[in-house]
Amino acid sequence: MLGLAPRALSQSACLAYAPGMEHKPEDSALMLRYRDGDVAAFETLYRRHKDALFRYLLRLCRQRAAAEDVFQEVWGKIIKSRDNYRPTAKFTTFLYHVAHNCFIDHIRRNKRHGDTADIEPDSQPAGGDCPEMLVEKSLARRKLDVALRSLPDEQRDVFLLYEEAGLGLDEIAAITDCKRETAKSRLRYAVRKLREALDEPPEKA
Amino acid sequence: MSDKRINSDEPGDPRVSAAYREMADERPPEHLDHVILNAARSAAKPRWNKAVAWLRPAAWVATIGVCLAIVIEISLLPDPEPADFDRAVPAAVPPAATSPAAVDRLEKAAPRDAEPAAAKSVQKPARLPSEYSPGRSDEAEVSNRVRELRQQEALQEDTAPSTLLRGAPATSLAEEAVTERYCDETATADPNTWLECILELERQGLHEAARLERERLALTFPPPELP
Repeated sequence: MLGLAPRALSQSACLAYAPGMEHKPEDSALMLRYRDGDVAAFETLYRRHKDALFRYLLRLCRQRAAAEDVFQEVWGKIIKSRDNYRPTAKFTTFLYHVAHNCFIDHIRRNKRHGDTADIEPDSQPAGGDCPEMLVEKSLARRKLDVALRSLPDEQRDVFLLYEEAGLGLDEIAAITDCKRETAKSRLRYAVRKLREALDEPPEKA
Repeated sequence: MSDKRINSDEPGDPRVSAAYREMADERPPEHLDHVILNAARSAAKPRWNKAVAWLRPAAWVATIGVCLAIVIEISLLPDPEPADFDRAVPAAVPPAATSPAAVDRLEKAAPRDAEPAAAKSVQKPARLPSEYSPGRSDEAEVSNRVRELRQQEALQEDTAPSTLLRGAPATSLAEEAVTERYCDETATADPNTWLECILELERQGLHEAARLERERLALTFPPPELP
């Protein structure tokens, strides 16, 4: 115990100290700076979150064009709401709350949710692996993609908020307007189905 | 992102997360980046931030203060023009200004004579340089004065026959207003005593007073016209 304690202490110290060494301004501070007219702060904020938010919307909408529309709508709302922004919660929670609501509005407007899926899977994985590994990764991607599409909307939403936004259960529950245990249950079901899909033998996938 | 979480009751699976990380590499198109960033730039108007928020009320207070100071300063300035002129004119206007020739002389001499009055008003510190124009204002007032004298003279001419009939002296009200008498009424009752008074004034060196009294004597007791 005594011999392990210094190592544990040093690990926790590194974990606690590492974010401070990055000197990255927090999202809320960037948003407040943008509220005061600093456009560069918004650019930093946008580049920090755009990819994850786009993937979140792309998996929800299942159509690239629709995802682009909703993506633009979300950032437009963020820009418009800068005067009323108050850092009472994490900016990520605020951002994905807006995105979730925009997606709901998009479904109500179009009534086309779940019709087709035109997400083009990335057919060229990164190089450097042997052909067997590439094939195996490609199969895993395809299986996961299919499994993710087959998830119920609520479970997929919770899983994407968990993976893409990095939110906790409390924040996910707040965004999806459900209880924490409900969000936890949805996430557990989603992860289990995806794990089963990954574990399936190739011929069944 | 999920690997940063330390809450152990969250039902995540590292293998599923890793597989999803490998699959999820989509990015938004660049034209969307431009559209959104341009919208953000156009929405961020220059505004007063908190650091200089006090400048606007301070500017208003300073402006109002300067305006009040100017108004108070102007209200405290004295109004010297009419009083100074009234005091200066009796010395400047010649007493025998009742005749047209005298009026013309007064008109020519007025700007020169008005200069001391203007110099007096220059000594007053309250006058601003921008509003001080001694030549123009004094000349205008002198010309107004001359105009008044002419009007009074015209009135006198209208009433002259009746006064002549009554044998009254042809003096005008204006002359009475602007001239001073150096010989008293007992001396002016008789031409001889009046002339003695004039000679006495000349002996005392008061030539100007003697000249005025002589002119008044000539007006009061005109010499008989030769046939």
